[in-house]
Amino acid sequence: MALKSTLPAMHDVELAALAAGGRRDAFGELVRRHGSAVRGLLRRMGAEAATADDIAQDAFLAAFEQITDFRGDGTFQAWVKRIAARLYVRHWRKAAHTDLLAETPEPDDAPRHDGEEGAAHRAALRIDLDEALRALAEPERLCVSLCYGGGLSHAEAAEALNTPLGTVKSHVKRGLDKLRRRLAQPEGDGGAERRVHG
Amino acid sequence: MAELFEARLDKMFAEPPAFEDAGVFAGDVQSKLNRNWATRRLVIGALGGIGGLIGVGQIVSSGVVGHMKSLAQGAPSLASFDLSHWHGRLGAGLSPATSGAMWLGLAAIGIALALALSRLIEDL
Repeated sequence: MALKSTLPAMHDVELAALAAGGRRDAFGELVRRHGSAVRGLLRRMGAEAATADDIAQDAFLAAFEQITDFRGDGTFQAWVKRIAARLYVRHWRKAAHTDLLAETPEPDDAPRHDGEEGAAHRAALRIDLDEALRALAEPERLCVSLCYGGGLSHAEAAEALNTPLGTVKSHVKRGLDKLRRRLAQPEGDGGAERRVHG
Repeated sequence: MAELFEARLDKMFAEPPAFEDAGVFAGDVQSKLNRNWATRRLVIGALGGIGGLIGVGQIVSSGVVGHMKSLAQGAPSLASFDLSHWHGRLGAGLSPATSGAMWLGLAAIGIALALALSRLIEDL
C-alpha cells in the first residue's frame, strides 16, 4: 500500500489506479494537481465563478465514480476536462441558452491591448486568453473553449450542444478569427478546421 | 499559419489560471468524497443488516435449526456437545429454533466485525 507521503511523487496514472482501488487520498492528490485547470476551463467557457466551482466539484466526483474508465491513453487532466465540459454544456442547455447558438451577434472587435503579446510569458498568456475570450459572443466562446480547452472534436461539441455540426464549425471559425486578431497573431487563412478526433 | 495559431491557442488553454483557494477547493472535493463514501457504507451496512434480519427470520420460521439438531442427535460430536453446553447456559428459556438463530446471528456479527476490522486496518 502506498503511503500518503509518497502520493505527490506518483504519476497520474498510478494515482488513478490507486483511486480505482478505493484510495480517496490518491484521488485527492489528483484534484490538487488538476483542480485549477478544470476550474479555469469552466470559467473560460463562460461559467460564473461559483457555478464553475460547483461544476468542477461535480466533475471530479463523477470522475471518481468512473475512474476505472480512465485507461491512461490520454492525460488525466484532459479526461476530467472533457467530463467537466460536458457537465457545463448540460448546465448551459438547461439554462435555456440553446437559442443563442443560432444567432450571430457581433461584439465589439476593438482590441483592448496591444504590444504585450511579444512577451509571451505564462501569466501574460493567461491574461491575454481570458480577456480575448471575454470579448467573444457567448456561442463562439463556448464552442472555441469546448474544442480547444475541453478537447472535444467539432462533432462531439455539436452532439453535446445538440446543434448542427455546421453551426459549431462556423462559431469556432468566427471565434478563432476574432481571437487571432485580439491576440495580435499574424494573419493567416481562415484556420477553423479543427482536428477531428473520434 | 493557422496551425501555428492553433498550437499557440492550445498552449494558452493548457495554462491553468492561478487560484488562491486551490487548496480549499481540493479540500471541499475530498470532503464530499469522504461524505459520499461514508453514506454509501452506511447504506450498504443498513441494507446488509436488514437482509441479515430477514435471513434469520426465514431460518427461524422454516424450522431448519430444529431439523439440523435432530439430524445431529444420531452423531454426537464435540461441536454438538459444545452447542448444547452453551445452549444450556446462554439459551435457557429460548426455544431450540430461537437459540439456533441466536448462534447464527452471533456468527454473522463476528464475521461482520472481522470484515470491519480488516477494512479499518487497510484504511490506516
